[in-house]
Amino acid sequence: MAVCIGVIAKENYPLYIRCAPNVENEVNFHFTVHTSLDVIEEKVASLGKSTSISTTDLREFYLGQLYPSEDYRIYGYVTNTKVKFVIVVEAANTQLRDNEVRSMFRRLHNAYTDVICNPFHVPGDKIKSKSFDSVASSMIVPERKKENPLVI
Amino acid sequence: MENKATLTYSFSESGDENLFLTLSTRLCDTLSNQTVEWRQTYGRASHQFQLKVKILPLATALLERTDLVTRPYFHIFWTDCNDLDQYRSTIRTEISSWVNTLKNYKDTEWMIVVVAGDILSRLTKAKLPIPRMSIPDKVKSDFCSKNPERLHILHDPTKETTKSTESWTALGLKVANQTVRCMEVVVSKYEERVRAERERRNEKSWDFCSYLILQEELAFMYEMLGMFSPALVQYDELDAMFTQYVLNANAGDIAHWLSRFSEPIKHWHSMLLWKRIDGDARRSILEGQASIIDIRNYLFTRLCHLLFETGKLTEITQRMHIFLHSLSTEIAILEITVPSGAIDCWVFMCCLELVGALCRKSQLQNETDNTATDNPCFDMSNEQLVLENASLWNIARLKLYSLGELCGLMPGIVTTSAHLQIVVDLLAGMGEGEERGDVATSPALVLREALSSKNNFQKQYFELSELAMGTFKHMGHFRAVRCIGNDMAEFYLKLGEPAQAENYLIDTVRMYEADGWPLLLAKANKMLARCYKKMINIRKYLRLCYSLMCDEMISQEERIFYCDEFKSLSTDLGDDTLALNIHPLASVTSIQFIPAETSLRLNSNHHIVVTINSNAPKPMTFQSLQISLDHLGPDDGIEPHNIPDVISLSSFFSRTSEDEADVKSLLSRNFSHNSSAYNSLQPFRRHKRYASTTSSREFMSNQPAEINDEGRIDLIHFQHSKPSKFPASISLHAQRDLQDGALAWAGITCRHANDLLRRQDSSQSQVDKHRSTMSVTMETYECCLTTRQVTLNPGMNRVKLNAKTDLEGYFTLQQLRMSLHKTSFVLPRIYPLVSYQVSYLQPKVFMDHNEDLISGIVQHINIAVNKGDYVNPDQESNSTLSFKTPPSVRLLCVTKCSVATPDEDVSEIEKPSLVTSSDETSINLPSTSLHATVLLKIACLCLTTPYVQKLDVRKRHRRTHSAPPATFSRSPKSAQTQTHC
Repeated sequence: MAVCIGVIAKENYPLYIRCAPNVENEVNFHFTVHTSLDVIEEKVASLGKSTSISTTDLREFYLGQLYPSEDYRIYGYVTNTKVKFVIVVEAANTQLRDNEVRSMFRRLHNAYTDVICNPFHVPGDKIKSKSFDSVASSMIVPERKKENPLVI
Repeated sequence: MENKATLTYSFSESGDENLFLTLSTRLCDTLSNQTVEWRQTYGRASHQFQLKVKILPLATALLERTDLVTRPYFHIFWTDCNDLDQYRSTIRTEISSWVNTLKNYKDTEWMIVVVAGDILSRLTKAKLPIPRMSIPDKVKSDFCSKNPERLHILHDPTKETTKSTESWTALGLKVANQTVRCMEVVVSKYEERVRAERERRNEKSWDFCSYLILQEELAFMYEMLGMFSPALVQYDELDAMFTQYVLNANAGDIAHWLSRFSEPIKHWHSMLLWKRIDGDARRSILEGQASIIDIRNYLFTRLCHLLFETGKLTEITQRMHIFLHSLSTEIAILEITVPSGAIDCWVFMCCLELVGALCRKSQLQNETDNTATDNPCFDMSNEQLVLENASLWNIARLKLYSLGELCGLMPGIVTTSAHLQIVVDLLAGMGEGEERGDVATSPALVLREALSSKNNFQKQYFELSELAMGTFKHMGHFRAVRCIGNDMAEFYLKLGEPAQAENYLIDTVRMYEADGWPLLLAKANKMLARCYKKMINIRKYLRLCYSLMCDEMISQEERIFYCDEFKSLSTDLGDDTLALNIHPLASVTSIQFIPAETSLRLNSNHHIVVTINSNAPKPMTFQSLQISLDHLGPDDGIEPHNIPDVISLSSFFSRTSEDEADVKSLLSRNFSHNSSAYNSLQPFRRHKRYASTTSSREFMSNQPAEINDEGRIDLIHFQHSKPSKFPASISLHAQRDLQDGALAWAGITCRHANDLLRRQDSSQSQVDKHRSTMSVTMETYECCLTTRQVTLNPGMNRVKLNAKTDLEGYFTLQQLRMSLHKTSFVLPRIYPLVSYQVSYLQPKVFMDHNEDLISGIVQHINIAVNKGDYVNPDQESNSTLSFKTPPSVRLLCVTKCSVATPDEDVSEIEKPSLVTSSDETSINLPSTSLHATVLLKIACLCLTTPYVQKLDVRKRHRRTHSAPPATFSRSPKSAQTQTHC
């Protein structure tokens, strides 16, 4: 399961970022999610080129793994309204399969749709919905402490 | 060296060896032009390829080989014998012993080639055809009776005749097909063996390393045949198998052979992509000495090699990240002891090795682009490749950084002997950087040099960072660039070169500001603040301290720290001053008039209360709080003296003329000027003024706001600092008419319209915009409201100021500033317009009596005296009211005297006495509070005259009203308030 979930607006500012509760340095996840926007933009641009106008609506939301780092794997998902979801998974979490990540994104997307459907929610505002929060936190697991290689 | 399938040749001893060697070479050439089909079992697709072979003389050592690559698959026996006797005597025995030798070894095919020379045919033709068997027939009957295919007659091999060519082609086809069929059989059997071995994997004696060597043979075989995909599959299977074992170990199921890998790792050589096969690694695997690093290195090197062969660069780039990052996880799972830093060394070297290999390949591709050769075409554009290189450089940079930290090579750290020991240990483990001929320096050498001294380390780190940054920038990955820039800045700060760090940090701040990531912005700002502090750039440092102390994204302790820094450094600006926008420190929410009116009288005692919501982390005391005023006085084109005329004509005068003289009605009349006259005249002037002092082009009403019942006006706050990328908010505005309260207009506006609709390319950058809101245009503060020593606590504060009423005119509150030493926090514009008016009221005397005074009887005259805003400068003396009366009218005495305050409280006071001189009667007016009205009732008597005194009330009133102020002079002696009767 994820250690960090981010929702980013069309204009690339964060709508919602939640990290695992035991994360020491939350700002590092912000860095990670922010940097992943580069790859998302690139992937979306290349998708836009390859598909014709009629098929853009049918395109795949799931972008797959964005870029690997030593400790984390980062997955991306872009809705038709260019709202981006980013899930950060620990690299040590080897059990997670690709389609599980997909289903996590689908659940997030549904929860986000519910938030947007709320007439009291101003689009573009930060997400403060409790139900969205509970969906997101159900996907988050505490970060395992990285075991440093033993030193002679 | 490229592997080739092995074929052997033997020949009859009597024959010409040179001829057979030539024939063998020609056969090789023929075969290499022959396309053959590789049929695979289990319905797998067949593969077409050209068989490349080498032909060696038959040797027992060759026959005894059991591996797939070097074993011989086909044997040829050459003979050019054309003499039956010779055949019978020697050749036959030779062939038979040759066949017998081969029979001992399974899975081989052979063929006897009889070279039919020109002489032979000529001879046979010349003689009469004798029914006797030819050599080929004899050979066929002796050795190939069951399988005639094993005999081939090669006609005129050295001549270029049709017959010769045909027989060569037939020979090539035969040899190729039979070799391949033989190979198919061998490989399929070998596959069976591998499969069986794999099934044994749970047995105790099974070992991964030996299995690897076994299965790898298949890969070599496929590679030799040019079938890269099946070869890749072999390595993929091995790789996946190893990974699965490690994962199982994580789940608790540790394979017995894995325990051998848990010994401490002593070597962390890089993989070597410039060799086709890493012989050393393979040897250590064979000998069972390999560590997990060796196995990973070896497998990835082979995979890479095969992928390069097929041009699948995408695969390589995908796999390399897994390769680089999974090792540390696996080492952790297997609980292998590794010296700290060893993995970093390994990753660093692997990255450089990969970059080198990718660069070589892309160069190769570029070179071959024009001259279409048979090199594989890469499935990746050069740009993507460059991007991958950049990400590798970035990983290498990170690893080098952590190595630098570990080995005490970071600036500002003293390298100790412990650090040196670590370096020595690490260098010992990564092996010697071997010479590579044409290839540039090996990664091991690069790392050795980087770890050798601080300077080299810095040089290498900057080089890698610049490379990565440059490439990312080129590819438009600006966020990644900023991330690296951040690290570079951090490094420069440690190095004590804050000026170098500044540019990187400014770029970073801009990026995060533009993208709207508050937490990252706060972090970048903190670094920039540190940078400015080191540069001793107090002005910029103060600005950052200011924005940081109000930043809610950082902790309260840090905010207090920056607040204290600000306070202590705000005195150090020298002669300079620093004006900052009051946002985000505080927001001025409302302005309240106490009492609740905006039409003030000269010198009246009024207060203006400003409500300020402070966001500061702790209470802050400012030396002063000032509100600058825009003052439009009587000299500014609006003549207060003229305006009352208009007013008196329209409202005041007409009413008084109709009403009966009554004290109440007198009091109820508004002594002050109606402010609407000013309002109607002034907006244009003021609007111009605002347009010049504020840069805002947003919608604004130039009508002053109206106060509510409590005298309060809520201010509207413009948030300039919001990046324009944010969604627009649309607000509803309505304006009511001042006079009758009817709706004047209503509409929707978007306050950010200008920002949103501005052209992106030609507009100023986000940061400039930010700066412009930080720096503000200051008003002159020549005319202002001031209060000293104001302490603002976090949260709501009310600050009371005395309204300026010592000047007549119209005051508009323009700007608010709070001063702290050399710095000031400015609310650049108070909006909506808040204004008040100070008016000077003329002294007034009203007389009221019956229309006709009748002679002979005592009658009463009511007189109301209002000093207006006139202040007698000589406080000691009293004012005197003088009457000039005709001789026939005599004022007798004051019968009643009362004072009415502006609140209409009427209180009676002691009656003053009349002082009568020769031609005038005067009354010493009692001293009253400001703006109070003295009401006098005077008894008067008209002496007997033949006619009734008629008084023109209107005229008199008018005159009274319009009497110049000088008539109410300060000296009691000369005071003459003339009431003409």
